[in-house]
Amino acid sequence: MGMRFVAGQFLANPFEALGLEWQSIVLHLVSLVILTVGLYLLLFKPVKRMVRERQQKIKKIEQENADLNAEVKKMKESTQVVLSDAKKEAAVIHENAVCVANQKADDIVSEARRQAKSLVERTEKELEEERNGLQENITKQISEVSVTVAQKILRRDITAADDKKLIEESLERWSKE
Amino acid sequence: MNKKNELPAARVIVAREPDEETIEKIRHFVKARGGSDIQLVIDQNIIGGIVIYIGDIVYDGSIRSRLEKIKRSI
Repeated sequence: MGMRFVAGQFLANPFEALGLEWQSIVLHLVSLVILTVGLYLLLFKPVKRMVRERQQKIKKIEQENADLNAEVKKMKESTQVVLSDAKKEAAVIHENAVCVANQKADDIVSEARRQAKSLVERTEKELEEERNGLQENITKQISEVSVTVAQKILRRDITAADDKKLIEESLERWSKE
Repeated sequence: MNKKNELPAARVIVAREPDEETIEKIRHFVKARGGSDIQLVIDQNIIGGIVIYIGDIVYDGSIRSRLEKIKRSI
């Protein structure tokens, strides 16, 4: 009988049965709401904002990393292109340089041959002139010596009769002219 | 004195003194070419023969000139 009374009382007024007053419960609820709102405003919201900002920061860093990676990749590609172009240009320059060098070498050899030929021709001409001069000189000396010898012989050997004959022959020849 | 239109005495160069006959022949030759008389000059450098100057005309029959010709031809 006693137990039935207690259960009936509990069901009729459970708060009262537990020793709680509704004002106290409301007060606790209000306190809880205030605490929740306060926690939300003072702790959860800043933490949430901080987390969001951090996420944004991380995203930004990731974006920057991605951009940097893309830029690095682009630069690598660009470098490859530049390197490839440089290699091609270097090859062209080398080829041109070889062509120019070969041409220059040919020119130098041709010029050297031309100069050598010219030198040989000039030397031959000078030798020929010298030979001719010597021959002329020898001939002149021989003729001078011959005439001098002839003069000496004639001076010594010519007689008055010979001289007379010469004079008469000259006069006769001039008279006929 | 020279006659009118007659050239002055011809200069005759010989290597040695010629005999009279030769001198006459020379004189005759000179006169035939308008000369008045001859002026004989002995010059052994001509070796032999004769050189005659009558005015501007020269007759050169010397051995020296013949040798010079030979020398030039060589």
